Amino acid sequence: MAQSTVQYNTSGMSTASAGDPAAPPRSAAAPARPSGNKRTTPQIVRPMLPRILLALGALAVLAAIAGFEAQSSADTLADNTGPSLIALQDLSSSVAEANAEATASFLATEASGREDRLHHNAYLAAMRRAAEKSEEVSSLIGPNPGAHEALQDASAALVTYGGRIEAARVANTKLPEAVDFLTEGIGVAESQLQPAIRSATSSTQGLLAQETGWSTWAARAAGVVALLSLIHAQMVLARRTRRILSPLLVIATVLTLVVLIMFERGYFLRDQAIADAETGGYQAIAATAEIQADAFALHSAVGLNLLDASSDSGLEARDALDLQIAGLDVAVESVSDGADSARERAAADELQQRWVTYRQTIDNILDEASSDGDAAATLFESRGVSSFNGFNTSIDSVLFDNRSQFTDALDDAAFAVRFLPFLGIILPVLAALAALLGIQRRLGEFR
Amino acid sequence: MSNERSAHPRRRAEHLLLDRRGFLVAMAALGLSACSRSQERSYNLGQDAFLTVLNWPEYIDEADDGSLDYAGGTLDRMRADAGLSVTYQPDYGDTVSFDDVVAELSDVDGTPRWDLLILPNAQASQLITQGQAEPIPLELIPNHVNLDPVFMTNSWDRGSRFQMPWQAGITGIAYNRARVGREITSIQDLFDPAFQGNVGFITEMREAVGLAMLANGDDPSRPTAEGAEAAMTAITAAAEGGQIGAFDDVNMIDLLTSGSLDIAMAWSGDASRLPTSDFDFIVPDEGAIQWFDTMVIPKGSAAIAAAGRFMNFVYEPSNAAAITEWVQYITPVQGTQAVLAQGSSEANDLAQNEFIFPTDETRSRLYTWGVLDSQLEADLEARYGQLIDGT
Repeated sequence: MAQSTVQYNTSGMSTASAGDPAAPPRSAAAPARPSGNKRTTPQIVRPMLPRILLALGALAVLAAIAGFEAQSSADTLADNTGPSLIALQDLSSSVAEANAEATASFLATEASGREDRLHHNAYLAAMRRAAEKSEEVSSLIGPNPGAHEALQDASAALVTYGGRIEAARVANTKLPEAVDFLTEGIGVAESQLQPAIRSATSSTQGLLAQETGWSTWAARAAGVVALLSLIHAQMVLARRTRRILSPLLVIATVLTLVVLIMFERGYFLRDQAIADAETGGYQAIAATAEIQADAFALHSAVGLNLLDASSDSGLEARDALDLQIAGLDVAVESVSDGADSARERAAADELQQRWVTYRQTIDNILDEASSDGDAAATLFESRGVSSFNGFNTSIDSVLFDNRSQFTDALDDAAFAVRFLPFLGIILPVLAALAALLGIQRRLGEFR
Repeated sequence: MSNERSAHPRRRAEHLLLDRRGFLVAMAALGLSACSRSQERSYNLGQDAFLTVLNWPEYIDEADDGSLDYAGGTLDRMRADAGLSVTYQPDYGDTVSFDDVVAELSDVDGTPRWDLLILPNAQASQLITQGQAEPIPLELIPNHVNLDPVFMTNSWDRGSRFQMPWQAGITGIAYNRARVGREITSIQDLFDPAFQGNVGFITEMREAVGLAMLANGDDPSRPTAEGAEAAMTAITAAAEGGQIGAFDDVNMIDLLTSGSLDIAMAWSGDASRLPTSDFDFIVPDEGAIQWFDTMVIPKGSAAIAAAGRFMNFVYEPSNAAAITEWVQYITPVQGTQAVLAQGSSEANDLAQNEFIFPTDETRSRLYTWGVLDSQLEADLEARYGQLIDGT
């Protein structure tokens, strides 16, 4: 950096050239400036330059760190946490589906006396999907000991569950305790497997909260210091040179301000997008997935009710089923209330209509069961399964919309901070360059 | 909520940043990012909507002279009732192949030639899984609720969000009773040397291999490499040994009626044209293959709303019944059977036809081809193609 010096003589006459507009010659009448008491403008301004450059340099470094941290954390949300939460819901619904299909398969095999193929295939497919989802979650959740531990419990319970169901399948039509194996398996799913999945979900959901790290506070502080330094330098120059603005310093100030605004805007949009993802997306996914799990549980319970139709507990079981149905009535209706687009409303309307069809079919099956168990089992196998599939896949349809909303919102969160590292480096560097040139130009005017 | 993931600002910006004006674009994109979410899809629905539909030949009601857009026909009523002007091209499988469709959709810069495609389920799933299909505009299709749940459980499109089945069918066995001289009940009969040179195999690999798998006791809804290979080996041996007289699809019924073949794999709808006095169509004891052709809106279609209206119109049971009366395939539209049952005696007969409205027992013996490793499937396709070319 070229050092420009301006010297004053004791007579008060400037050595600067007459044509220099920035250093007007003092009038002879002006009182002589006492030498040694006060510093000259360059002496005052020159030390400001390193302070400003230091502050802007610190801003560049800290903003880059904060930007990379924000970007990395938001990318983790979009690429890991979000997909993990969705995969956990898939795992939960796959287990519920396996339960329903295992019951239907058991019932069909018992009724016909030969191995049921369709439901058993569907059961195997659901179990395969559950295992895949478990592996997927495991590979996505990263360093989250709580979730890993819960997932290990879920995997162990899945093996136990599969064993019980297989035992029920093999014993079916041969051993009277086959129903007990099936009931035990369903018990494992409800008391061990689903709670473990819920625990992993809760642990993963906590990662949605974004904390503000030290680098963000440090970057903010550096930005404020740089901004104040620049404003101070301009005020001093304006006072000393009788000129209001130094364009390059103004540019440097604006660029510094832009860095601060862009960071605050990025954080704000990110937080807003994450809040949207949680309230508009994830909570809707969780609620819809809950409906799906309840629907599978109901379907499974209807099947068990048919297997148990001859026992004395038939009436109690019917009451319990009616309670489950009433719960689903309310839950399905709430889906329409939460729909916020024409497409979602259409999907919710279809869900409602298919639920009504399924509910009527269940009523018919249960009514039939009281007089003719075999006819009820046949009805369950045909129209029961068909109307359930219609209802269940309509839930899938609503889930699809919710998931799109959730993942889009997380993508938005990642996008909101995507350019912060780039802006955090480039804008302070440009500001430093502008400040350097601006101050040098002013100092040059005193040569 | 945005359903258009490809139009997401993040991806859009990644694409645009490749441009040399990257920085400015990035800044502009940052400014846009806040308002680009939560946008619903909107459609410009005019009084008249135009769309071009590609379908198989003879797959919608025709006048006696073969014209499609005749007074009172489905396309005519569609214009009057739904304000749809349809350019209907019954060229698929005839002058337009799936490769042509794929080539058309690969041109990302242009609007596709067709706004609605009616494709076999295997090919539709390919387009959907490759992101070449638009989500159907559910909000314009209240009749989506009439879709038979049997068609909603496909793993590649649970809930039928990207396609709506047009018609479904069964690939079973049709035969000439007199010439065969006995009742046919098994797929194994296709391999009986007594019929050497007089057996027809369908040209669709998944259906032929699927039936052969069933004959071997394998499940084509969960195909394995070993099972598919064993079936292909059996078919190859039959083809090379002269057992198979012809590989065909749309002409299979003509080959049977002309006496060129005695027994053949056949589609249920086509088999309904066989004179029942001489021919039978059966679902063999081992089972049969179920397939469906389905409506898909190709990516980039300029007439998504019109396509939605088209889908909604044909999913009205009374309109579906008119199509079913003519094509005589399995309809995916619930409520159609009731409409036919209240119609003419011919329509009522159709309502009782188990190959149009399969019973639960028949349904339990129908298998839809599952998912096989794509490379293995392509290999099987190529080898099956060689067998077809060799006959």
